[in-house]
Amino acid sequence: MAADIAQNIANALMAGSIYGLLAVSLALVFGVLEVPQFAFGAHAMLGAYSVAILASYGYWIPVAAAIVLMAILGVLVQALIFDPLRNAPPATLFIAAFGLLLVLQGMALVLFGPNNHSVAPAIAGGTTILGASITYQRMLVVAAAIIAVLGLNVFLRYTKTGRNIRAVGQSRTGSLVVGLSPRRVGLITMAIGSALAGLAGALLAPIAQVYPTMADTLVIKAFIIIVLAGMGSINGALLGGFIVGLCESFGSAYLSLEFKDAYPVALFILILLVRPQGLYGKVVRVA
Amino acid sequence: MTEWILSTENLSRSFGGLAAVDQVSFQVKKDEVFGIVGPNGAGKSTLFNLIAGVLPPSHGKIEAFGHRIDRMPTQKRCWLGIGRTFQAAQMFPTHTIGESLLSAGSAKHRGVAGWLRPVDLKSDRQEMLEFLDFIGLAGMEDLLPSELTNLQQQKLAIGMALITDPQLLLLDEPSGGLIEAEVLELLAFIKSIRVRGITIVVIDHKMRLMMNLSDRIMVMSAGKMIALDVPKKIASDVNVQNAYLGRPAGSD
Repeated sequence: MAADIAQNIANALMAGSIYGLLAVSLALVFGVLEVPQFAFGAHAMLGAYSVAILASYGYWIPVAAAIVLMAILGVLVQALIFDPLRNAPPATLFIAAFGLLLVLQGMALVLFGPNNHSVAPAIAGGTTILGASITYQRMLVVAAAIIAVLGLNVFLRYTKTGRNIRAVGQSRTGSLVVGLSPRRVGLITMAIGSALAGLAGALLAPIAQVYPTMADTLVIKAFIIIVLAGMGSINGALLGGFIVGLCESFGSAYLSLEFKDAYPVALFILILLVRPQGLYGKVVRVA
Repeated sequence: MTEWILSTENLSRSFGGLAAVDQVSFQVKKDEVFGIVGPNGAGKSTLFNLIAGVLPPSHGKIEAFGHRIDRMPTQKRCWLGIGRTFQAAQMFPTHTIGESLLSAGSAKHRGVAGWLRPVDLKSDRQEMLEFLDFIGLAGMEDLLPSELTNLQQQKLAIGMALITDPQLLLLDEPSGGLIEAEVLELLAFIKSIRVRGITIVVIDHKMRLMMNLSDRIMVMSAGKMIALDVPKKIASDVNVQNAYLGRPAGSD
């Protein structure tokens, strides 16, 4: 029984760190640019494909490539789509993001075909902690997600660029009045968000199948998480990832496996009934 | 020849059917303090937002430093030398005082230079500390705006506008929330900015402050300019007294 619980917690941490990482990328971009970037699901998928296609170079070089390529894709989509739309109403941004998701999935289908790719684990073996067996690859996923979010915290807190990103997130008008360039902050923010989504996909590749729509449910869960956490709360998004992971893991083990994807949504509705502003208390932006 | 630093021509802005700013034309001279007074809802803040580029005008023209600016993006008006204060606690509420000043000051490094400086240089911190000292908040850089007194918040708001290096400073209700003794300190502080060679346009409710500070005063009511003159003449203007519901214009 104790081993079961430990195993469920281990599974939850692993799934939760992927959800959390993707949620952090969405929270950053939504918090600063107010773009509901659903297409990050496709960015994660392309990150996973980067690892699958470049598998002959080992694991770390493809992971680095996934991060760099997705940062570049982030710059492109910001420059070509979301920067021109920066004064557009929320519904337009929503449609643009959703359209981009479909276009990127279509491109993946054309380029890589409909078949599943799989990626061999970079690190073999595993260990047993409190009766839960955990592969090193899965431990790597959790560690990488936590390190990435810590790194993002340090960047936002201690660098000039990070501070200006936070400034735009707090007051777009105020930032403009003191002369901050919304274009520059937008490009950097989208690039970082996209790179994090790419990393989430790259981490997921060796422990899941890689195919064009692999991240669809994932991005929906990530959205649930940022609403749970309070829109724009970065650390709340990572924590929310773990909560959703736990909810799924224990729900599947003790209630019913068939409803695995429904548990987080049920939790989401429950929490919003009690705390409409989200767990972290930030007021959800309506506009 | 008088040198105009800012001029508006038939400047108007409506919200729905309501004209918040209605055909306002005026000019601000270099180095003067230009006061704007009027009852609540007279359109003063809207006028500031039109000049600073927070709102686009419905009609009319704005020129500053010889450039037509009424369609210029907000940040470019800042780069041109227009600073506007906002309530500091509303601006960047989760930035510390030091971070607020650093963020406000960082836009001076634009273009390639800005991209090449992702971290603060020693000179950036030095500049922040100098402004912190100038606004009388030395040693308080790690506090949040909400932890400051009203006077300190007003000074921070002004410091954040000043660190962008403006030639024209728009002060929005600097005496808001202040008690009488603080207003005197604020008055001395604003005069010390003037010494720096910065032209000031100021909106405020405190008539005594405005009479003391301003070289000329424009009175607005229901979006229109109803008087523009030196403080002494404004105080005795009948239209102005009517606009203030019969109160003597010299009282607070």
